Amino acid sequence: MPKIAAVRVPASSANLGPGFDVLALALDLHLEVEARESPKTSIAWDGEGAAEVPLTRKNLLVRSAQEPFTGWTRPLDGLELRVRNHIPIGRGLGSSGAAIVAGITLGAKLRGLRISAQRILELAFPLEGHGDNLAAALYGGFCIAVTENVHRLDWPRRWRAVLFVPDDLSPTHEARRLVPRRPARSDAVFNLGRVAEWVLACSQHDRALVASAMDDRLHQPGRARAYPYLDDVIAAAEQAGALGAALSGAGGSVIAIADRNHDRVAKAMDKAARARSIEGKVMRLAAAAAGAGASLNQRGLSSPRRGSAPGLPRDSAQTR
Amino acid sequence: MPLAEADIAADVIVQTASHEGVTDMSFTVSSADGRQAKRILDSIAKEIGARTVLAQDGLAKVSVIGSGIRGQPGVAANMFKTLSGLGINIEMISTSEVRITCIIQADRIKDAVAGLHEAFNL
Repeated sequence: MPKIAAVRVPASSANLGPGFDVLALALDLHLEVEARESPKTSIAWDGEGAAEVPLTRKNLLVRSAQEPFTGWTRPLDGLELRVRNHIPIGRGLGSSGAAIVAGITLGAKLRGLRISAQRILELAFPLEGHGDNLAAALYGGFCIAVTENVHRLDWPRRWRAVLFVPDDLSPTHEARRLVPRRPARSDAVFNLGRVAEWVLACSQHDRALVASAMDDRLHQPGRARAYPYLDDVIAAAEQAGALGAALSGAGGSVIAIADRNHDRVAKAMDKAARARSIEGKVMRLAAAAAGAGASLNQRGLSSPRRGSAPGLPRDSAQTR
Repeated sequence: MPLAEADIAADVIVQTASHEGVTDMSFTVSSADGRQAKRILDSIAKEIGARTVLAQDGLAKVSVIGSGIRGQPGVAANMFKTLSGLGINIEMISTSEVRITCIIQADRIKDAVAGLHEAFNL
């Protein structure tokens, strides 16, 4: 009887201002997938992205369950996937990082292979190209990704993320070209200090540091050209009482951190975007303390949160 | 041989090619015999002027065995690739015509066996 594997991976907001390709925060917004091996690949996709992602073997979940395993273990025939996705696709919320982590985790579980979170990160890296979202997806919390080495800090519990997520799609690869290849030395120095401030702010729960810690001169000035509403939304969030705000990942979402006045911050961000004729939605999210790596240690292959994932027939469920 | 006299069985014995008059010799013993073996070897090392004796605990042995290994290229490569894919470091390797043995960290032995079963379609 075919094995069923399940995984639950958090969204993440990378960069957080100055930490380009290095910092990321895991968010309490998840991609949930159940999988079993089957002769043909089929994907039932529920939630965000149903119209945007290919539901074939080219799907990032399927590719990630196959490609990293090529050459050292057996290929899976095909995959039957049940997906429930809450992460907006292509909005700078780590949807691809989450999909890659989910695919590799499922690929390992379906083959009966036990690999560490660190190893998943190493296998995932070539598919994603940068480690920030992968780290947060795997470990949860506030992550510092030094290529494939991850350092994780607990996120202050009272700090929430307020996000403005635009309706229009922004493919990451296009926004990446807007980042200068050779930053000026003064800009590099500007960012170095602020990344250090982020680490202090997070580890010492120092709310007064966040505004400065989220400032950036490396990638946001270039990307602001693609997102003309960016500066206005950041300013509106901070004026409404947010501790700080920045572009989320490669955009076009904007993330603000607030420990109070969440509603006021959300409304101000939405209003600033609308003043620029940008439609979107606002979300208030806690950080996700646990990443997908947490489910690696569970022996059972059924859904990590009982009853929350879309069900494959339970009677055929088998744990290893 | 002093180890044999102490009733310590050595396994997976590997000697490297000499380089500038120095040769490494490695072998495994059961963990229960580890301390005693180290003591014996330390005294022999002094006698023969060996540079050093290194001992490592917490290792395990995983082997692929079969007469099909003879004359079939790629079995060892497959085994090494699988262990590397799992993120398992190989501490020592020894082979015969019908057997490939790898010494790895003991805490990964179950993962290695499951992975090799999968890789060789067993």
